[in-house]
Amino acid sequence: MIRRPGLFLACFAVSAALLLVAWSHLSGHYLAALIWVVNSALNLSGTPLSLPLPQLSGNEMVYPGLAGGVALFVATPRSLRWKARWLAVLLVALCLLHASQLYLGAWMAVAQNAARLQGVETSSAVGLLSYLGELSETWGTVAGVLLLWFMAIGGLGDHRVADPD
Amino acid sequence: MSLLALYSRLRQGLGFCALFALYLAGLALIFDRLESVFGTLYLYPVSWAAAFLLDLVGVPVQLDSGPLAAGFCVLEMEAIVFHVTFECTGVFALLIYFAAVLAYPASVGSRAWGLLAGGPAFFAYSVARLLVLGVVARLAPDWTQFFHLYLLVFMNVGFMLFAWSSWVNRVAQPSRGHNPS
Repeated sequence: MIRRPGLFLACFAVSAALLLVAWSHLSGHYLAALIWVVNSALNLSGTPLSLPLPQLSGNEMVYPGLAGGVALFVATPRSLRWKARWLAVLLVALCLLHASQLYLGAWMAVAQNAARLQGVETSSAVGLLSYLGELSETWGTVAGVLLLWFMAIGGLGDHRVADPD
Repeated sequence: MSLLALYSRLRQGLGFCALFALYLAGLALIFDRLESVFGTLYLYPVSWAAAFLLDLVGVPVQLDSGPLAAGFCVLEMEAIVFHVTFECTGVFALLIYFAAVLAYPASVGSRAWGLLAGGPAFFAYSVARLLVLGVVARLAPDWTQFFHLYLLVFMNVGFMLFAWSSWVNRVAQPSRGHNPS
């Protein structure tokens, strides 16, 4: 549990600002790495599509939630070991999510194109994936990161204030 | 077994995180069904209050609520136009806060206090964010994009956790006889 919410908010505000600035320089490289991985997966699965590498300009950045999620765990008053462990979990989870979004987006584009060419409606699975993708690109990812954070801080619901380390 | 006893048993079993996810899913469904009501009761008042305060501090702004049915209001300033959507008003952070309050094992009175206090707190915070963003757009337009992301996305999470942690420490835990300090 967070015993000093004001201090936590201040730490989060500072770390979020710094990480956001850093991420503005790194997000392009992250996206390039993701696209390389996803294109490899698309190639392996035989999907006839390859994602182009977008050119980010100036202050443009992608996946800012990753910086926000890192700031959240950095600002949480826990040991360094706790932060390292949960930051690793967070980064793996977000990378998998982002790669999945790109991969499924490509797969849905192919499915929808094929359905259009055949003059049939796309399956309900495509519709559901489209809805989930939209959700994950808005506040679904925020909710997921917070759920992970709640799991990490522990001690919720009983009188122990858990500090696992 | 009474409904209350059954609910209490389920609650103990599911734990906070599962309950949080369930409540959030339920609130998301409610929002989806009653989006127009949220627009009228939250999005428009936040936009109106932000426009009023921006005018007050010397940033001329026109509020257009015409697109409210489409889920946004327009704040038109000299050099920039804001489309105030639900994301901009922090309503999703408010729903996440509500889910966290409902999921935390506290007395009914404590949870009611948390829910009732959360609405006005988030309203004030959302208006303040739009005010700051409007001032930044006027004084340092190159920083608008950065502050848009920082204030309207990142600090939403920070404020939500600040509000929830404050409620847990000051209301929920003391009501259970646990002194957080």
